[in-house]
Amino acid sequence: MSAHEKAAPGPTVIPFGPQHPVLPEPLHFDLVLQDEKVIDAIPQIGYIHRGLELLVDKRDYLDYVHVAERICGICSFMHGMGYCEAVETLLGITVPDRGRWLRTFWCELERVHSHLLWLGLGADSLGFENLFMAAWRARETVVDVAEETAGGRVIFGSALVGGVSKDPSDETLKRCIAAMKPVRAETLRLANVVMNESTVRHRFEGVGVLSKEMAYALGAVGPMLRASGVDYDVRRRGYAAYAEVDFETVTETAGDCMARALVRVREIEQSFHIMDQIVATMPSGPVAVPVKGMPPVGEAWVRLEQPRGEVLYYVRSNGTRNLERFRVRTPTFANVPAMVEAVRGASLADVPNIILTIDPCISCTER
Amino acid sequence: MIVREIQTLEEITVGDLIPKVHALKAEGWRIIQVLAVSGPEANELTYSFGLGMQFKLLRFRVGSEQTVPSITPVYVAAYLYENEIRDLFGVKIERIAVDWLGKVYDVKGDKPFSKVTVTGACVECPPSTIIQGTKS
Amino acid sequence: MARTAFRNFFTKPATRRYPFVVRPVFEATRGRILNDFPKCILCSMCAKHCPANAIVVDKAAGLWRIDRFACVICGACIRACPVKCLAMSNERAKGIDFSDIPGRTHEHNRATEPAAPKPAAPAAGTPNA
Repeated sequence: MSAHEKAAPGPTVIPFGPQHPVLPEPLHFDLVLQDEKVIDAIPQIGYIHRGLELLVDKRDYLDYVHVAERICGICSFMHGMGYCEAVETLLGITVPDRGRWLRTFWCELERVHSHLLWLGLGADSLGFENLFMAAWRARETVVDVAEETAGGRVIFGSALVGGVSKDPSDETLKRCIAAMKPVRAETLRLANVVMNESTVRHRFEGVGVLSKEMAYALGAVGPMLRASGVDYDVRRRGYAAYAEVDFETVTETAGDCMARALVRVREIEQSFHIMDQIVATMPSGPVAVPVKGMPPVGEAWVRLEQPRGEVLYYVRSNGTRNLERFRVRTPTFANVPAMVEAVRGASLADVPNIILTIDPCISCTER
Repeated sequence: MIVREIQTLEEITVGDLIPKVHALKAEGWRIIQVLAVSGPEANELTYSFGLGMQFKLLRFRVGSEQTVPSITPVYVAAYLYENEIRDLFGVKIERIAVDWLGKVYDVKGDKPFSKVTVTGACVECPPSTIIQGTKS
Repeated sequence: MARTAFRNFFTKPATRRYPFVVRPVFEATRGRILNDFPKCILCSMCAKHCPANAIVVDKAAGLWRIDRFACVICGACIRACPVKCLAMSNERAKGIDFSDIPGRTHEHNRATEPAAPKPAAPAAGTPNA
């Protein structure tokens, strides 16, 4: 052993975040390093807690959907819809068919736009700026479609207790599907880049490996869990119109960053497939049922599949216009322990990639 | 392929928590979340577990002075939920694996989400209702 | 790689020259809230339902005011309005366009905009909301 090695210091602690070029949102890690290798990571959240759950007993239960939509900027429609589904379960309301179909359409649109956004951010974390710009250019068409059908680019604002508030015509929806054809082709081209480009492969393959057992035991959800080989997708519950469409649950087995990227890229293709079926089989009729009166005393649990994974909504009513408790457990909240496990053992330079491949959404997490 | 979701709720006591959680872990259930609801007399904790599309809830109530054992020795991923509940609701959860010592959120006041006004152990714990299952 | 580079010579830029070329808005776009003030009865239902507390209504002073920067354009006020005087415009509010919006807030006042004359009660006697 040389004198240099003898003098090597013990573990070093490096603070990572909350301000870091790769992080879109504030998240802090204390990385415990031995040389270049991360031997432990201590996460810290709590920079953007807004107390939105507590706001539910100040707002009318029908108006709170607008607050629920603003929990997150990327899964906005699904947050609004999850709240609506929970309240509808409580009230015993059945949403009309066209409303359910439109909800499914917007959910899948949101998944496409979220995954393309992630692909851009993931590429940016490697310094692959071309892929970042190509992904976001493709996403532009998707957010335009969102604005044309729902009224907002990222905050769709179309979820409503009892249905949806916007009713785009069948011609508009067909035109939107046609407008998204080039995005579909572009996604396949970008998928090819992710799979074959040596830069991406070098930074993603074999990095941040999470075994199947570990991912399941740590309660990981969404693409994080499916990339480790667990076939789990809450859409199989058949909420909205998912019982009527045919889709495949995308899984990979490697459990590394590459697998997580591929799960997302392949899910975009599945989402387009679902949207095609939805528009082709769109029923006619009303999009919403009128909701009146107080919610009954009781509680309801609803699980949905967001782009980042399983999300759980809980509402409890005490029989007044203000609900007693609203709780949302977001996918990133469940993914934090798995993220820490994936970071452990990686080299310091790979930490940004690994954190980005779980697609963290900290505003969701802290609500 | 649509799998019907089955929701079940079980009322337990604080003492039963750890044995029940051990049994669920052995059966392969995964932790979904821990929920706290605050009432005037006591906080109500609900632990949710999932296995496929099955959804199981364990529920009990704790008074402001009672302590709750942490389930992190069984499900380590529960540390986030337990830290959050201890910060926001003031539930005394003991021996959390990753302990943030009340520093999860930088919030005004000691336990902003708590509505408990009665101190001491929870004497009477009325059962809560649940709406069984969701729309199929 | 070479193909992409070659193609980029012959394709139009993906961006617009923004101040000169403005993307047209869609029919469904949520742009801003408009109040047809003569119809307004100053009932303050809109203010009560606003999730962002952007609307202030003062019945005594005859005042209806919306803070454009606080408004999240959700449309809850439009659904709550009993006389349907509120409407969604697909034109976005321009933050510093003084010709359209005087500064940050947009205010309607009874002193300058009197209420519409009450329509004469129909012969059948149905109350007009």
